[in-house]
This record gives sequence, structure tokens and C-alpha cells, in this order.
Amino acid sequence: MGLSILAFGQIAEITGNTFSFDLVSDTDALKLSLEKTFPALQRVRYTIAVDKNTITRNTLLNETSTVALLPPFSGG
Amino acid sequence: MTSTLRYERQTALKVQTDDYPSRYERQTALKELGEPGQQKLLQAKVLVIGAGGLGCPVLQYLAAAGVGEIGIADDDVVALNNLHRQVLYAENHIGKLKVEAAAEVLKQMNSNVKINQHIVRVDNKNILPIVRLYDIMIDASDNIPTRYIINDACYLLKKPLIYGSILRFEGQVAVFNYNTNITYRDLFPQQPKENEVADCNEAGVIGVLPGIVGSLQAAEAIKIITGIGQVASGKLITYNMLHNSFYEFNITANPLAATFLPANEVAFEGMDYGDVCDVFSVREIDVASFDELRNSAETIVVDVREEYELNETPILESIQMPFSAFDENAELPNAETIIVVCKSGHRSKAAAVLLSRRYKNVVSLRGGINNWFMLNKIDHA
Repeated sequence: MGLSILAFGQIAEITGNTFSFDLVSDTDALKLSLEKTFPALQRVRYTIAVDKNTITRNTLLNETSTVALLPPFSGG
Repeated sequence: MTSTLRYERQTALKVQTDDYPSRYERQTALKELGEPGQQKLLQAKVLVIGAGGLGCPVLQYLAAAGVGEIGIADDDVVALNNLHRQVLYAENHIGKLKVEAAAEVLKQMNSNVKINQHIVRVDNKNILPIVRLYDIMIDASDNIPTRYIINDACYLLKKPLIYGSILRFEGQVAVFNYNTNITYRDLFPQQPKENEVADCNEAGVIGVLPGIVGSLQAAEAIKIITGIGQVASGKLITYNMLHNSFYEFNITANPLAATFLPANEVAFEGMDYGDVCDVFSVREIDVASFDELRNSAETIVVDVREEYELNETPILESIQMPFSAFDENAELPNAETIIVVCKSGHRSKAAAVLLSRRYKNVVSLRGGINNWFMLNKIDHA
């Protein structure tokens, strides 16, 4: 059982819309791990939400966490 | 026969001038809205920034609902490749200012609504006096710098802001400064660089997507004005058209936001938001307008790319004036329109500013030859 990840916009194009990822201890570790698996993520800016709340600091994760990767969109 | 005709004509006139309250009876029939809600709509003042894919449905539904005063801010003109998504406009609007075309259509739709035309590309030097005129702002713009400018202006003037944006088949909607202090900078504190965000002009979009996202923005405006339902205040709503999925996220107050928000109006006007808000006011045209204009005998194209860049794209009939040796006083043939082009649209804008000191009607190709080449390639694929 791993983390559930929801990806949006240009991030979903790199990673796919939804996927499972090996559980890591916190969001900092997740970011590093994701960027290692998907190097293109290093060039995209995004905000992370854990269980439907955006985070502003490193946040602990557990097996039931759902993590969303939210990039800004510019189009209109 | 004659008398019947006259009767009908009088009835039609009556509908135009004395149509209230029957015009709105289907929405006032909603007990949550009712007559008090309609009165609030009739007294509301809403500014819509951007009259494109998002702006069109926002404007249509707000005018139809009877929002008393609607401002439209935009400096672009209608192009053929806008029509698949910017559903206010018709073929006879091509080449006209969107603000004027939209005002014309909305007036026909609901003559009771006061429409204010702001023919301007909002920037941090001109936005504050416009925002002050309205109760609610709607961000229907199409670029990152403008979004930060609108956000920061609404933060300073404490005005509710309904944000909407799209990318390919996805959209985002959020409400800021309404019953919370959450702003766009709590979600994305620092303005990303140009290359960190996908550009929608290049990404492509299906017309119904901004239709849905703009309709969500209009719905938030109506809820705020009439005080019904739950407003997406401090929340980010995402929509994916391909998957029919909606998600809602709570936006947490971000300590970093304060670092990047302007401290006051003077600081705001001095901030550097990048290209969109530079002090030059040269009109940029899109690829569709470029293709329409460049074949006219009255148009000349000035290519400011360097010699070594020219072989990257097909040959374009133009006068070559490399930017590294650009002479703004060079003699150019007589023309009604001068279109300046470069690879990405930056140097051409600067060159157009220089040329416009001497020549009239100088414009720059937005996105440059790269964008033109790519869109034409898609068209011919």
C-alpha cells in the first residue's frame, strides 16, 4: 500500500493523472523522490495539498494520505 | 392588419423598456433568491478582466441575470481563431476590439445593464482606479503576470476576487478576499517565471472548457452578490473535462504570501511583474490577425531577428532589420500597418516601441515567429 497521488495540469502530463507512490515519511521526502522518478518535475512550480488542504511546510505522510500536486494555470 | 402590426410593435417596445420584473421571474421564483436577491443583482457592480474564453460566458450570464453595472477590461481584438471558444463574438466582429464587440452584444441581450468599456491591458500602474469602481472582480485573464497584478490590486483594495484559469482540458476556480484573507499568493506565493507555466495559446483548448469554468465563476459572483449558497472562499476548485472530476482544496494561509504581497499602493506600482506590465503600450497582434494582415499590400513586416536565426523558419516576406543593429530612424516604405516580428515576441515589442515614435500603427506579433510557425504547422497537419 502506497500513497495516492493526484496530479493536475502540466504535472499530470509528466506523471499521469492518478498514481500510487511508495510511502515516504513526509512531503519533503516525497518531493525529492518524485523529482528523482520524474526529473521534468524539477522545472515545474507546484503547490502540494495533503488530504485536501494545501500545505505551507513539510508535512508528515501516512499510508492513508492523498497528496495532490497543483500547478498554476495561466490560460483564459 | 395594420392595427395588429402596430399593436405588436408597441408590445415589442414595451418589452424593451418596461420588462422588469417579468424578465427575471424564473430566477426570482427561486425562494433562495427572490425579489431581494434580484434587487442585489440590479445594484451590483462587477469588473470582468479579460473578454476571452472565460470572460465571454461570465459576461453573458451576468448580463442576462441583470447585474446592474458590468465593466469589461481588455485591449485585444477579435480574431478568427477566437470564435470556437469566445462565444459572444461573431464573424462580423473580427478585427474589432473585444470590449466594443462584447458591449454591443450584451446591450442587445439586456439593455438595462450598464456596460463600462475599459479598453486597456491592465497593469500595476493603471488597475487601481478601475478596481475602485466595482464591488467584485473577476479574473478572466490569460497570463500569469496579469493574474498576480489583479490579485495584488484586490488585496490592497480589499475587493472580492473570483479567479478562473484553464489549461487544455482542466480548469481552476477560487474566490479570494471574501470572508477570508486568503489570496492567490497563499496558493502560489511567488510569481513563476514564464518557462515554468504552460502557455495556453500554445497548449490548445476546446471551447466548452472555458465555457464551463467561466460559468462557475459567474455562479460564484451571483452567490456573493445575492448571499446564497456556499462561496468557494479560500478554496481551490479543480475541474477536469475528460474525467468529469471536481476536486475542492482548502487553501491554507501561507506565511510566504506576506513576503511577496505589496505593502501599499506605492510599492505595488513600483513592482516588476514582467512583460505584461512594462511601460510600453504597443499593441500586440495574434497569429490569426498576423496572417490576415501580412498579405495586405498596405502592410509591411519588419523582421528583427539576427541573420543566423532566419533559417530556422520558412522564408517570410519582410524587411530585415536585425535587433543588434536596429536603427529606429531607418526609412521604411509607406504602409498602413507595420508589423514587427522576432523569434518570441520580446525584441519585436521593443523595436515596435522605437518605431512607433516615428511611424503610425506599429504592432508586434505576440509569441513571435516561433508561435506563428507552430500554429501554422498545426493548421496544415
